[in-house]
Amino acid sequence: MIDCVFILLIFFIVTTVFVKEPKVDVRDPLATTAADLEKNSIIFALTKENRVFYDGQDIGIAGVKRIVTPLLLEKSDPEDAHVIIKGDELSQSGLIDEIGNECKEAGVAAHRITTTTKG
Amino acid sequence: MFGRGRLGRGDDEGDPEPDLSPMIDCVFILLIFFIVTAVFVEEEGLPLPLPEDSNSVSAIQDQKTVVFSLAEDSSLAYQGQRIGMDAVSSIVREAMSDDPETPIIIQAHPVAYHGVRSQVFDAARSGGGQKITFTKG
Repeated sequence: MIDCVFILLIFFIVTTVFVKEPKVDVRDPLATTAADLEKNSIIFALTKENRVFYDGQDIGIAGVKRIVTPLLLEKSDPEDAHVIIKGDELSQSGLIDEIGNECKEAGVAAHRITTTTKG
Repeated sequence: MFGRGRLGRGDDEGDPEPDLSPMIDCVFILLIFFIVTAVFVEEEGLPLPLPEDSNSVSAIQDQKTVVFSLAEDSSLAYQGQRIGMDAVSSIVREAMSDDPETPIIIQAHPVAYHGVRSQVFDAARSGGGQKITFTKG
């Protein structure tokens, strides 16, 4: 039994990814062609009131670059950084693009910027 | 080590193993901690196809392109006519049968809903569209 517990323990240690979630309610748009997203990502949320959240805080559009830049420096390979934008169905599409552009300017590869949807 | 062995023989208990229970307790606490903190982020999503720069957008406009536009009130139009969401995938499929490389542009007013644009994008993808780009309208 101890062996078993040790295996479980190691499993959980290995799989635990400490991701900072935006901690706000967002209704994802529906999509049929959605694919699974990278688990270890920088997650921003855009609420239906058009406010940008990261880790439970309202950071505003201007805060996006401030968050992304130091996180990119932490990565051994900046090409590996993924960004997920959780946009509410009723948020403005222009603001989603602005968050995406801020991330691109901070150095995130364009194909690693995604939006969430419900499959 | 030597002393303990002698003690074991002397006590006649036949249990030379050390007491493991404090360690098991410790491991259990760690296990519970990791189970509780494990967040399984199971997110599904679509890419965000932002245009590279203004030059590449004007370059692809020389080719035959399919342009969907979303107005301020999130109403969808194709070639100046309002269409329903269900028409998107058939328009794309038709264009793809002519040339599978046809670029598709979804031109959305900045105020148009993200949810509606995602639906158009999803419909274009399910119609076989490959080169899809979002632009500002």
